[in-house]
Amino acid sequence: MKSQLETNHKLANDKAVTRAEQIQKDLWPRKFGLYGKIWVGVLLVIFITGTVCYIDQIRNGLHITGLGNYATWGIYISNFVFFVAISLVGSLISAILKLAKVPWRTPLTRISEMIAIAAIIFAGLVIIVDMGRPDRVMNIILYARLQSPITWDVIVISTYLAISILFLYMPLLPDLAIMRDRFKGIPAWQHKLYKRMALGWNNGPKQKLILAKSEKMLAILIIPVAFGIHTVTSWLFATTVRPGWDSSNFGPYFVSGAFMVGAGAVIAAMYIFRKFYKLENYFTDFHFDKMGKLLVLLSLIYLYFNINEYFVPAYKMKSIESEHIEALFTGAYAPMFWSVQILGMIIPIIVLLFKKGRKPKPMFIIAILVIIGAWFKRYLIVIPTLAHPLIPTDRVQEKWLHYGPTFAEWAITGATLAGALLIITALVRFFPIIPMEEIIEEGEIENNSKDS
Amino acid sequence: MKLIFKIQYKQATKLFFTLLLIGSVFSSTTYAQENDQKKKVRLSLDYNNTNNITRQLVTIVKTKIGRSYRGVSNTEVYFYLNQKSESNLLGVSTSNNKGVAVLDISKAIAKIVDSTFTFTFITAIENNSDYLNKSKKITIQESKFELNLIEKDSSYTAQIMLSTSSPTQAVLPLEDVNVKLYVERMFGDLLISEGHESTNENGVINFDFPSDLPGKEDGNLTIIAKLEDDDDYGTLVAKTDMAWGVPLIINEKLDERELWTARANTPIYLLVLINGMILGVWGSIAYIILQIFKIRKLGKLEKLTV
Amino acid sequence: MFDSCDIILLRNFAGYINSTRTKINVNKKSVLISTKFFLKEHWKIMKEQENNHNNRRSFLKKGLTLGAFSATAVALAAFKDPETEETGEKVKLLSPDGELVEIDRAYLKPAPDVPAAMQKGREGIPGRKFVMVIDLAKCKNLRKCHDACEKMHNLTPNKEWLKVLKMKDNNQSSPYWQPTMCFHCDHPPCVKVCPVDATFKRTDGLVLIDNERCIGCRFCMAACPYSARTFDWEKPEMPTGMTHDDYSPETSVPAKMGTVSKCDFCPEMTRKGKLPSCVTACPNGVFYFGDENEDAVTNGDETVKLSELLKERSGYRFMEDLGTKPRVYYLPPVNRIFPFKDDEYTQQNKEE
Repeated sequence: MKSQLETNHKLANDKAVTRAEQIQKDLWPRKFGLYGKIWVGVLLVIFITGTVCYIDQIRNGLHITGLGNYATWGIYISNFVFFVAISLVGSLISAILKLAKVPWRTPLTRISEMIAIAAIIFAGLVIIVDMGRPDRVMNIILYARLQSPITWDVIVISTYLAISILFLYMPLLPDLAIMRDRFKGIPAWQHKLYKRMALGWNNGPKQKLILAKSEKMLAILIIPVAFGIHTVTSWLFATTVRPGWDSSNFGPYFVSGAFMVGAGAVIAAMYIFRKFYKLENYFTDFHFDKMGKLLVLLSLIYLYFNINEYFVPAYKMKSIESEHIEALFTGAYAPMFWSVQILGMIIPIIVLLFKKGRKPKPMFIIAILVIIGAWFKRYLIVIPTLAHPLIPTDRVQEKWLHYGPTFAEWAITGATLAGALLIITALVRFFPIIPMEEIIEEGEIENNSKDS
Repeated sequence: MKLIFKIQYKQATKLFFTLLLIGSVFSSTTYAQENDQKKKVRLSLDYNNTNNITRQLVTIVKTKIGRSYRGVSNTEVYFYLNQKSESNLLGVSTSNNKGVAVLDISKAIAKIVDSTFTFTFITAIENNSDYLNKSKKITIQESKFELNLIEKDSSYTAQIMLSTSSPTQAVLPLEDVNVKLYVERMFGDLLISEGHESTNENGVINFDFPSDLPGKEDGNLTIIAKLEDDDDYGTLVAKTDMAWGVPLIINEKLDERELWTARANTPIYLLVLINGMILGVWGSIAYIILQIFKIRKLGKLEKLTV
Repeated sequence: MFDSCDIILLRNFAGYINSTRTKINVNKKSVLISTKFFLKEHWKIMKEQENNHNNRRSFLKKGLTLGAFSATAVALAAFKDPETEETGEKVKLLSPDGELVEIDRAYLKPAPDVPAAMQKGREGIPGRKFVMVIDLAKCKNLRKCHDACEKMHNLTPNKEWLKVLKMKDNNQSSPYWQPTMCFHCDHPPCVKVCPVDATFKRTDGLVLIDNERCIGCRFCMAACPYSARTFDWEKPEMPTGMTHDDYSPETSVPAKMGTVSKCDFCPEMTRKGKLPSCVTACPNGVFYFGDENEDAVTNGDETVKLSELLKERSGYRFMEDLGTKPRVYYLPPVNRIFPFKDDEYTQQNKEE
């Protein structure tokens, strides 16, 4: 009897050890294969093209863009809003779902933090790209004016970046320890990197306690800051009196949209890594199903705010707003507006309401639609308003009123997107996409509860 | 050295004569053209006397461009006293971009102002390359223009006295002359009186001065009485400073804390809220970073293998 | 004695000394010996001083970026110094005798008639509160105001600080021309949103821009409801005879690439008691400009009491309900002198 129990325990232990080993083997960051190299190569080409165009912009000024004295903000700013929106995914998955004690969020936390960090870094860089005098960027700190929404934006964005880095690094410690201890087949410098970063993590109870407490603190801290960054970014527009921007609804409208596109980004990343890294056991169909339901919920909330944002001014049709609303609904921007709303919001809601729609492949397509729709939604938020200033423009030449991005602008915007993807790619190359230690522990807890 | 000098000298003289030839050809052609193209001008002449201290002659030179008359700029105008001759030249002045040429004759006239009662001034354009010769003559009778500011109880009165002298009468009051009362403002003079008042038989006008005009910080106003563009007397101006204005109280709103002020005057609520939030959040971040160091310390102490 | 060559050189050298107004002591005795020798010596002395001052100049630049106080102090000291100190920066000039010489910038004529230190641009003309009244009944769209502003501030057709808008209040009323520029609001939305205090409201009512601090974020352009601000999208043309050191927020010239600029109510003119260029340029006397504290405005021909003018003629402000409290009042286009006549711009756009 005793030996049977012992054998069972030993078998269970062996099983546990082999299971742990299996997880580590699956999730170990690996070198890039052919697809990976092509991916990096394409991104590098886009990034370098954009950088060359940016150097031209520094030397010859912003006149290489399609901007003018009426259309003063263009795709740089809409891209900035897009990046800030996507960066909220870190707080969504790592913090909100954690505090809600949602169990299936574990494989998603790391990739969402990586996306968040890449996005927020490039949000800051895009803003510098849009500045007329990037050589004076220190003025924002030296002469900071607390009455300006831009100052608030700088404060919250840097705060969010700091918290996100901590939120990526601290849960990474156990995995760094694993990689430090099992270092077969990796170059010496990489091993040294893991060793230094692991800070002597040994899975001891005291360390685990500190980590758990810190993670909880970070989760509570990041949620108001995340709401803060996108609300303050929305105030860059809402504090002006222009049609389309003069709305008290902008804060919740932007934040709900951010959560939605963040969820879409995570789904897209899930699918790609599941396919190319063969992680079907981790990013399971169950996860896709759950994320699909989450995305539907977030999209419904976004739909609600959209209706408030567009229907109410359209009902009133104040003369200042009427030109702008008409341009969006039936005028020059109507094709973009309706395709964004339908393809980027309505169709995802409908498709994801069905179980079949929440399978990985359709979800990936929907996620891509959501992301592209979100990018053009930000374009629709920024650009049409500037085409309808409050003063009459019938004597202004069309070319100075209507904005069309130039190749240089697209190249630089593409470079920022490529850059963000490169950061994610670099992080994924060296750090496990899915938290290894947490998965191992979760499985043990499950097994232990099964046994007892 | 001497050879080089010789060669240079030869070349220089050659160049000199060629230039002289070309120059003479050009100048002769332009001379012929100029005489045909000289335009006519209109001159106006005014004599300005301010407070009996500053006296000026003001000429406006105008020429016909298209259908209207425009001022001629950068033209030399000659001013003469009594006769148009070298010895009587008072001075020369160049017109500005509006065609106005001003000559200060205060010093020149000061010596003779009491002995002569009537002056004849002549303004002329002569030997001008673009314009035909033209002159204008005016005869001015020297007069006494006084501005007295009388304050009785709380009423302010500005009294103007205009008189002249003649060989027979020492004081001859001038009747029915239009005088206007102004107050000096930053970019011009503000008309206080109705504009049509004239002197009575005693050569006097009494203006009621308004008590609600804003003045400088000490309430000072520069009050001006003007007799404008009279054919006999010229333009007479009498200026005085008087504290009859409402003192200027500067209520500086920019020193208050508002959203549109400089960074030194940030509203208190913003300062407290934002700095409070930064302290709170970054304080927590600092605490968490400390925890990282704690983990590291623990890692060094307990070296157990997984 | 001298030969003719020496005489020519001596004359040139004398002319050169005149144009540089140098204070270098030239020994009279030495001049008699050889003028060529002295030209060389002069250049040597200049070069030595230049080397000594080059380092100081780069340090000056660094100091300016690090702290406003230290920068102001240094700048003030440099300008107050009666002995012209050489900056080490050379400028090429044509001497009176037709020779191309290179002299230190410090010997050139001083910068335009504006307060030298940048700090002064933030101080308003004391005791004044500038205000403008525009009489829409008299405006005929002659665009002389626009052209004068363009000339004064070195603008381009795309960079309009003074726009003459064609307004039509409703379908029934007649259109009218409305000259519009920065209104120098008392509650300026642009100043509220500037993150670096580059645009500021002065005590004399003017809202000015410090183009040396502006980072070019263009938030102020988005915030201005009147679209009054323009941006320098490319390297602006430098007006002749000017360098970047001649810039002041009171002249707004020369423009700086990548920064925002707008109508400034010509403070360099008003400091001298002259009216802004648009006011004097208008042949119909449409613009009245003056000091609200004095309660008087003038259009160059007549000076009137501001309060009376606004009361009698029903002065109003553009988009009053936005709460920006503009400092420009409009007199309604009633009892117009001229009937409304459309111009070619509107015709062009209609056809497009």
